[in-house]
Amino acid sequence: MELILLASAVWLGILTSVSPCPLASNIAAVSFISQRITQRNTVFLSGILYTLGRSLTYIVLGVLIVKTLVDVPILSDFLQRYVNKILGIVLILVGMVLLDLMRIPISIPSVSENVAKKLAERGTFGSLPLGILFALAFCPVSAALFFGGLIPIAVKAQSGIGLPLIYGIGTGLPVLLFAFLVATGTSYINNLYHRITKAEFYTKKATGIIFILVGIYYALAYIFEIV
Amino acid sequence: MDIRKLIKSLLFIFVVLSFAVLIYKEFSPKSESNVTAVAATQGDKTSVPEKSLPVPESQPSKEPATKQKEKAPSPLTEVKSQNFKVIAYYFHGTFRCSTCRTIEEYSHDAIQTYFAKELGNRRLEFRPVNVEEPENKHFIQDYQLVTRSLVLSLVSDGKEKKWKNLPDVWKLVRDKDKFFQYVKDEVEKLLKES
Repeated sequence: MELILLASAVWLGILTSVSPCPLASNIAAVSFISQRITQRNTVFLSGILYTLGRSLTYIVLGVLIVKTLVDVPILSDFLQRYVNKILGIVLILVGMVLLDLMRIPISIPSVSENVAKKLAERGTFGSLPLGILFALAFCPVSAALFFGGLIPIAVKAQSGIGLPLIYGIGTGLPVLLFAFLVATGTSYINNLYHRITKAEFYTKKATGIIFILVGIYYALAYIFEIV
Repeated sequence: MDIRKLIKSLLFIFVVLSFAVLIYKEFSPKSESNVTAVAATQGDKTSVPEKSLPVPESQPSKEPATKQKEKAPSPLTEVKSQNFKVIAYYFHGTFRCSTCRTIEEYSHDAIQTYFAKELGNRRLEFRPVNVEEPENKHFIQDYQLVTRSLVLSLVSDGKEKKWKNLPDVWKLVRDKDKFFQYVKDEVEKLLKES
């Protein structure tokens, strides 16, 4: 019985991640995770942090819903309506930092400046907040699978932490797998040509460009409502 | 170097513009929604029996008129079918994803295919509703909507007797035949009850 619940949580997660609507954010995630493309371990760690970030969001939502009777329709509507709008702007700004078009303002207190620098420049640790943010950006398909599929199971099993955690891992799996394959493949090629530093220079730029493009897409779709 | 500056400026302009539009859209519809809310309450006053029915604001004024019109020719035989009707709501947001469009299209087509007669005599109606418009926001609470959904509502004398969300539309969207059958079965069940 328990096993069936866990399996369906993973399956719902995987369905969420391969559905077409979070495709744009998945592309951004893959490129962000595989930034340090030549260091397989870093890519793997980054992918795990991204997945954990996603799980964290789902756990917080799961606990809120299972333990505190938060009004699910209002929560779902709020997340779908606002997070996607803000996401576009955030992605463009992060992309600009990655491309060195913008520096993190000095006026920010030193602690948060360090944090922000780490986020932008050390892709590894940025993966955690990226996962949290992307998981919050619900679209109709993921809302149907999470609020309509997983939450009823979690409420029945009174599992606010376990099942959302497993679901989150499911949603991160394909991105993790893909990033790892990319890293494995390219590091093999890189080893042949000894062009390690060059490769990282380009992957960072590429990630910046992808972030900006995905950000513009989100802004056009959710703010300007054109796409 | 100049190209970098140009790109940087353009991106900044885009970000600022996005932010401005976001803020504008968030705050301007509210003043509109007050107007429609006032209009809606006025509309409700004129048609008291419709008050408890969660329908779009344009509906209450339209519905009684059509009812009277249809009642006129044969009052005795039409009475039963006039009292009951089934409304199939498709709830969507402003942003339309491709799967959601397919669900709407299939729902609409299934109803058109199997229930042309019921649509004709107005015992059945298909209504797409944007829940992100302020006047439709109450549907989210009324039907506990967490995403784009197809909801069937059985209405009698302007009062809602029963409603049912059809959550399996999301599972069956990849199988057109099963989807059609699902919608057909559910609508038939509710029509039989009326």
